[in-house]
Amino acid sequence: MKLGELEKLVLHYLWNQKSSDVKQVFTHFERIRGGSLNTYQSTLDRLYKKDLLAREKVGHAFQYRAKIERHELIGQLIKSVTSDFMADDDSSLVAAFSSLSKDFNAEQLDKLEQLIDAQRQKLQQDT
Amino acid sequence: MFPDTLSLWLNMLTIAVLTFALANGAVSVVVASLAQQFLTIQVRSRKNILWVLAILPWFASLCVTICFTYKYYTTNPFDKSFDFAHWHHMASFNWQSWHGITLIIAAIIVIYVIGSKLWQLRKHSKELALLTDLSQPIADNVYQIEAPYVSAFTSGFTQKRCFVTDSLLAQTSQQEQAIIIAHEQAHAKHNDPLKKWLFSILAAFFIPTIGERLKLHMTLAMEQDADNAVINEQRDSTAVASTLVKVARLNAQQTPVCNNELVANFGAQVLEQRVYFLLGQLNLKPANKYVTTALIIATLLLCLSSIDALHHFIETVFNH
Repeated sequence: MKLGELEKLVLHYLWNQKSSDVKQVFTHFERIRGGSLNTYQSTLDRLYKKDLLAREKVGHAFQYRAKIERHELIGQLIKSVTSDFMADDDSSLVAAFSSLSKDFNAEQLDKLEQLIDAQRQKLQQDT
Repeated sequence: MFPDTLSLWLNMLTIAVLTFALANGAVSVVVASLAQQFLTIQVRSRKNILWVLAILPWFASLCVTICFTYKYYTTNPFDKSFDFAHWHHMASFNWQSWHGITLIIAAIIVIYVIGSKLWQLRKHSKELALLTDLSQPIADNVYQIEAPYVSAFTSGFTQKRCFVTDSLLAQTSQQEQAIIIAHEQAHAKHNDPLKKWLFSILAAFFIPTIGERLKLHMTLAMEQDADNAVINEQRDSTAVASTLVKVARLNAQQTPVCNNELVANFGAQVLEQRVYFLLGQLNLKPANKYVTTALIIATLLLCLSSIDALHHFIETVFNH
């Protein structure tokens, strides 16, 4: 999903507003970067189709709002982009490789740090 | 029944599928019994061995199918060298037999695995494009993401991009940041996201436990190789190790962010082995070329000598 420059601007605007209709979006951006009402209408439509905006009809116009907060969206994207390589439920594998486990507790991390410190001191003594 | 040429192709595919299953079983036994030994092998050699193991069932299928086809076309009665490559009905194929069922099941598995991987790739590309849009470039191919999560990772096949969250940058020193970024750039330089994805496709054809084990070893090898690249940039290995532990500690305070075949990320994974490796506490040896070659030849011989017997054995139970 690629976002155009205007789409990004409109999304940022809606992250800062509770909700807006196309006229409010147009009024805000007309002063900053120009463009027609239709341009902003189609931008809002595109963001809606990309599932980034929710909308509900109030009177004759749609009120648009960001479907998800910025930090939530980024969090979801990071999680999705970086997940799936290992099956999370495959605990038997982790048990079989306990020395490779990613689930470290503070005590194990302390132990590794002590090991690193000892190595550092040894290197300093050698030089 | 089909005309000869089509039947020949379908029989060849059946031979390939049977060989694949046999070779896959043989490789699985090797991985299950020798997995811990892999950890004593030097990183580059280990990566090569893992690729060989993942590709071996496909290679064996190809070789054995060629041998059986050669035998079929060789009419010289004095040529006994390929007698074991015997398939007694190369010119006839019946879909309503175990051969047909075997081919259909194999086709479903291949289509499912390739389809799901391509769908994953498409979804990933879209999400990555959006994430790039929401990030700020801070260096060549390095992007900063504004997020309350500690994370650094690399993704992209042709346009490789390294991402670092501002939370991670805020909680690390300049030296640590340089190490993290150098590590991610090493992943980009090694084409790890693409290789990881390709490897995951090959691993998907093994039973899940073995597939996951192969991927875990490949992940460790890729991470160690990237760590090695950071050290080769004249950086202190203890500084790299302590940065790893620090990132792991920060990761432990949140939901771990890691593990996708399309990305390569810093920290969290296979930590202990990486720290020991960086501190030079692992006595890694190069892979024994003779043992590796013997393994490949043994697998090929096992498949070549077993297919005919397996064929007859199955036909004592199922419809010919």
